[in-house]
Amino acid sequence: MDLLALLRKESITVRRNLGLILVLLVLLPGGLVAGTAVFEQTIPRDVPVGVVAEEGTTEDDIAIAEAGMVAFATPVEYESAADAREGLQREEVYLAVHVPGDVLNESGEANVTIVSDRAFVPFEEPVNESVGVAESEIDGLVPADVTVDHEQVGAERSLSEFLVPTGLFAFVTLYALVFLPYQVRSERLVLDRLQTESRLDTVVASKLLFYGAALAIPAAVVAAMAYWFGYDVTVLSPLSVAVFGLTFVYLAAVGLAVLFALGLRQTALFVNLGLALAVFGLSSLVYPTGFFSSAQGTISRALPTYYSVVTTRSAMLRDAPASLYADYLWWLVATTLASLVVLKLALAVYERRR
Amino acid sequence: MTDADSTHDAGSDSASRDAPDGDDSSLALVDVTKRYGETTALEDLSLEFRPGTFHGLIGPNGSGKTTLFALLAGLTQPTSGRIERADATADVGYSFQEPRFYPSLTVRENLEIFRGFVDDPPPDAWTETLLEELRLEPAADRRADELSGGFRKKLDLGLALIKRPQYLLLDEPLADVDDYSRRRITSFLDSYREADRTVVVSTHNVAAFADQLDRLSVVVDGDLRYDGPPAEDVVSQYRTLLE
Repeated sequence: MDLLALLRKESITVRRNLGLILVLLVLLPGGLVAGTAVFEQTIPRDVPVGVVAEEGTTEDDIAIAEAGMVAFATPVEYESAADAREGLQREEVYLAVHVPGDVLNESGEANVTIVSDRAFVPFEEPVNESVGVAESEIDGLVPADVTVDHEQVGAERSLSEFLVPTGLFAFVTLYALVFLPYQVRSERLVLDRLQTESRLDTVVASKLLFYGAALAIPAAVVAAMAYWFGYDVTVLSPLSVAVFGLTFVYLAAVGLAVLFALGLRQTALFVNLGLALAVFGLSSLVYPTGFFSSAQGTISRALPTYYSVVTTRSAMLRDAPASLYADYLWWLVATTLASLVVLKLALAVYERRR
Repeated sequence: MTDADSTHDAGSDSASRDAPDGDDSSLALVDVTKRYGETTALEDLSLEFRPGTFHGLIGPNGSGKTTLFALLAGLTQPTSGRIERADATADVGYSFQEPRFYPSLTVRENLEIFRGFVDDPPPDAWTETLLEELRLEPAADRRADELSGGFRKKLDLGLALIKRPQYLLLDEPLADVDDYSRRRITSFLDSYREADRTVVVSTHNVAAFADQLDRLSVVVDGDLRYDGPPAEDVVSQYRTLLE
């Protein structure tokens, strides 16, 4: 009978917490399955690839080369090799294909050069695969005898080094989107007293300031650990600090906005956990955008977290000027401001409900 | 609910449905109504809290006392009507029915943090006075979330008093507090209003403060049923008002 009574109590608890149950048992697992829809394939088919015309290359040559790539890539044309190189560093494209002008010459030999960036370590094997695919596809389409050279730019990186910025970004996401709302919620009872002494905006601002500044500690720890392991990773640079700061603020603002909009209920923590999982799954943390499907590519390019990831990776692994990522930074600044406005609105809703 | 006339019938010497005739340093609710959705917590209520008084706000559970305190403390806004505070710089200290403090801080740390919110805080000695008068000294260096119910309540009281406010709002301040501490606290609060400060105690246990009350307001179902001087037998007076 004890068991029956306890089970009855659990059923009543469930009825009283339908919002939480809905998020935990319906939306989260449903979201996880829905998320799998954008992971369609493991062979790259929609990865953006830059196409650069070499001297003497005609539009027909380019069109034929692009036709040879559509099996595994989405071609993006660049005016020059330098532009394509920048595109690689900005992760607009993950390969750059230099098309020669003699692919339509039946008796000639055409040498296509495929350039990839060593900083994107997990893509090395797919790139090698793609080089072979490109060679056979283009060779089959054009009269010339096509050979493909693979050129790699940037310093040699290990997978361990590649994972340092990825891991740090994942940490910031959990810290801002899950831990900070949890911490604020743990002090929900004292919020009433704080509002008799201060403003809720000020209380929340103090949380953002303190826990934002505290991020210096994990950043320093990661830098020290990377140094200890002998990794060639620039953890602390003006660009990486700026990106981490902005990423923390906009993710924390969104997490806190969810928390206050849902009246500091436990449900908010699970909603934020779901958002963190979505960020991990859709921001191209480890594989190129579009690697798994064009839908995944489209979604990740619409997310600010994608630009945080790319800029962080570049700041730590690539020898590229910060100015190359200026538009990404502005996008992150705009996202941060918008998320702070959303947070302000959520606080207003919370106060108005009282 | 009672109608407006019952306030006067019960012997009020100042309360009315119109704006209270308060003096320069009073705190007042004027024609205040507070609704939560379909529920009316307070209905067209006017009430004044005067300096130097020990004001009892009495009523059964769910009568609207806590809502009235939340309005006075600025935690919520009236649906209609207004809150008047003649001296804008006069501050309000609020001891909640359910204690509100930082659970991971010690008693002393909580007091120090909330003292830090005040622009011109009372001297350090005030903190020591509170620890002594509220019998918090034995728990001063213990984490707040490890305190017993009585100590939690006393800490909350200490936090309401830490800035030495002009208006002190106490919601069931003696709940869970032991008898000895009750006598100490009641005596301390009695002396607190002597410096022209106002102590407002919300309780359903009118007997606990019968000897201290200068003024009595009885709220029932969101309506002001009585506002005036307490009778000699305030418990009997309260029972009569409830009938």
